[in-house]
Amino acid sequence: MNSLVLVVVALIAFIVAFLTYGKWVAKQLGVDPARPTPAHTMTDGVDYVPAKAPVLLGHHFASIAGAAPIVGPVTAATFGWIPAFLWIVLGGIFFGAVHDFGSLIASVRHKGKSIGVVINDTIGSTGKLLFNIFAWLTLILVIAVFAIIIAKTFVATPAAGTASILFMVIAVFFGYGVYRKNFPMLVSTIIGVALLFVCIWIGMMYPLHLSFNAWITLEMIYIFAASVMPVWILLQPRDYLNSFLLYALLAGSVIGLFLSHPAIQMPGYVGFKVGANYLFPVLFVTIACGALSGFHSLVSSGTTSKQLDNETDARIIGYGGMLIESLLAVIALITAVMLAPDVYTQIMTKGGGAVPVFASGAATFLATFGIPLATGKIFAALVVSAFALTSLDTGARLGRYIFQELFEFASSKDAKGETKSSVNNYVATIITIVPGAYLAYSGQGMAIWPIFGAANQLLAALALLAVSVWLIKSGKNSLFTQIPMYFIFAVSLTALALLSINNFKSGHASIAIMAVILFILAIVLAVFAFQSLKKPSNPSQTNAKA
Amino acid sequence: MVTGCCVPFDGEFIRELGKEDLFSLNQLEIKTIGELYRKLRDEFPNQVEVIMVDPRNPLYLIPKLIKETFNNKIPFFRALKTIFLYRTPAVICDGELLSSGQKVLDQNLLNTIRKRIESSNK
Repeated sequence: MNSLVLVVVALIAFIVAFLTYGKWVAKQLGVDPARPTPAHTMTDGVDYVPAKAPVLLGHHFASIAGAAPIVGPVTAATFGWIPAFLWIVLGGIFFGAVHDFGSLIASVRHKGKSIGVVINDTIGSTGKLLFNIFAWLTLILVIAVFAIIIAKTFVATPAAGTASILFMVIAVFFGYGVYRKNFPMLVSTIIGVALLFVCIWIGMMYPLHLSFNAWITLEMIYIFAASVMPVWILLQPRDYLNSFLLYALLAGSVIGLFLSHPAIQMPGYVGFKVGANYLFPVLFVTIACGALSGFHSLVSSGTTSKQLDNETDARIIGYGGMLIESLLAVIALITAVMLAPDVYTQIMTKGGGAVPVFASGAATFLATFGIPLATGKIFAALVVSAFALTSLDTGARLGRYIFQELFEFASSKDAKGETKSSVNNYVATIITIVPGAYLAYSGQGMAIWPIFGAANQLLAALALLAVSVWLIKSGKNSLFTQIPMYFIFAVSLTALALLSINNFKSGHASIAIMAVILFILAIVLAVFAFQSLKKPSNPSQTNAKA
Repeated sequence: MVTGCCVPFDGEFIRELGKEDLFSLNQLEIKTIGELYRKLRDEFPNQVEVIMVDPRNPLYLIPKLIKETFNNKIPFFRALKTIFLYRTPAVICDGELLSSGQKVLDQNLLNTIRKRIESSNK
């Protein structure tokens, strides 16, 4: 079967869903074009500024797109393309997009405050505490799983390793030039992006052959350093330049896919049990960001909700933005299923895993433009690993902040009462990184990934709970958020139970223990959720109405 | 916001965690432009369309700049300056680069914008 069929079917499904179900959800959420948004009622020109929908959609999408909607679908192809495709499409339409849309509107109605505040307001401080705990544990898993993905990618594609290191050097110069010396933005961007391609060329000339453990060690040193440096030196410039790589890869892949329209070679359905994993629930936690991702609630309730010009824009940005990410996930799935099954298995088990599979497929698409396959592979691997690296250092930094908040580690103050850098910052960073590093050295990316997915889904469940409680307290229908929430609870709990048993059996005790901890927390969250939903309506507890 | 997709690193969330100073460089630029935005909104309500664009949004920004310089018939080299040589924060009015890289709001800039608005209203 031609892979374009999947893209066309997905596109039609998403467009129809946007025009019908998305419109219905908007009605349930009480989207009101006449109601001024915080961007208008609280305009300060700083955080609260109305932005037109195309402007905001661009920024919102750039914030939610990255490595995870690529890795998940490629990994899940092991069950066959049909179940993976169905979950991406249906999950995106009924779960992920609803989650993002609901979080956005809930935040807008809470004066543009983050989902943490919405949770605190609707559920209470216990909910907020749970959210922080989940976030911290998920960040440890982010560190572990992305470190493994990057290390395996660099072992399989050493040229990408060299290019990535050079990319960091370019990013530092870019950051210094633009943020400290105020060089012209676009000129610096053109030079920076051009130099990135030079990095790829240098990488091909001088690939860095290191072992998996060596790469993990380098990454841990890197993220420790990156997470304590000022953001303008590395984090911001790298994130900025990443976006250009992503746009180039997306544009090239989509057009190349349409031009090359490869045939699907993987089977549509392999079986309910593949290896030690069952399709339910593992499929649903393997593909997270492409169908439903809890971290998107942070994005929706971050800058986006403060810059929403009109509530009617929320549908295209919150609901539509997630559907675009689901489309990216479909394209990632195609890069896996266009391979012959034995080639797919070989790359997944011995050839570096999901990223090289994706890079191989993307390179095939880019080859339609005359780009050599080898160059295309390195470019695609560089793009995905660049996002993964950004997730690593932001994860370490954010994990440190959340850890400090959870355990009230105060930075010490000097005689003037000003905060000075203290050992506590470094201790908190180490405490966040060490468990992630320990899991990363295990190399068990395939075992950790679904646990990370489950944690991410549980974050989404918490956000959906907050939105549901807010709707109930406002006397509105909330089934469209409750049903996804219950489903995700069932999936995540089952997945964590099975994954902990499987990992204990296969001797991966540390991974199993992480799954058990999350399982216990998920039970606590589920009990808490049911109690919150059953509480009598108390409009005085929330100032925000649906 | 900085993100690698799975880890959104947002100003609001960071403020809630007490780390407001993390994006201090950006905050300075944003506050300068914010001050201008408020003055224009208060002095010329409904007379001027103010679009604030994050410089990290080139997909929108660059086509918009090209379109504005073309529609307003900006001379070629000045158009190139608008599109390629702006430093953040930048103020562009009808395709013309009026201010580039100034971290403190300049009264001359405000007067220039006022004159342009008043002359276009005549």
